[in-house]
Amino acid sequence: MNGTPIDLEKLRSLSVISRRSGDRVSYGERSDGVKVKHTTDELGNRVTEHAKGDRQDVLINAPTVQVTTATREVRD
Amino acid sequence: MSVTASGLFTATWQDILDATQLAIDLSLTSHKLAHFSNSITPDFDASAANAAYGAGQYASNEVSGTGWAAGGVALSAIASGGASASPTLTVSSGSLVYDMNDVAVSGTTLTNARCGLLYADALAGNNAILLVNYGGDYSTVNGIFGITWAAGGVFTLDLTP
Repeated sequence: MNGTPIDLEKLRSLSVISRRSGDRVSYGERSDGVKVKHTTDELGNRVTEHAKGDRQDVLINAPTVQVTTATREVRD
Repeated sequence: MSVTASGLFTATWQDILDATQLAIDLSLTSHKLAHFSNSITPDFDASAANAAYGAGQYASNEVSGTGWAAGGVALSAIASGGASASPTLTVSSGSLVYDMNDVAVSGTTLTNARCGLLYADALAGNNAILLVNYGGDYSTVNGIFGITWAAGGVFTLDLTP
């Protein structure tokens, strides 16, 4: 049985589907009033386009590189 | 050729810990961060000679430009306003934690930066310390190239699992 739009909306209200995939776009304004457009990808990295001055910023959402070990005593 | 993961370099750590006594001081602000494109294929098990800026995979395909010169930017001036990133090496719950202030270099024009190589510029070997995978190709135009380090730090070594 295929899900209907109403079924999907019910699932979404239960937070089973809690985040839409793909880039998220938002708009803002610099302190000097210039409009900016933020595009945040699924990695959390953000590209900001400025309406004036042909400017584009990038903000990388870096991961923590975790090196883990396992302490074991191995006897032959 | 592609960058698929971040990582540390085994040869560098071997040389730190063995008779080579490679003098990597993680608190130094002279270490540099250089960008590379997705044309490289990082080998975290490369030999010491190739796990270095300007050698092996890092001999070409560097992404540099206005505001971010070839060779990279030193940690001493890589934070907002040209301030130092003030790197630290601490111990937290049995793990060594290397961390620093967020990166924010203004006025950059860079095309398709895919990863960042942190290396010891003060050493003759330009030994590679860490490669950070950005996860995609990113470009700036007369803008800020920034890195927000995760709350857990830049990298951690869990010595007491």
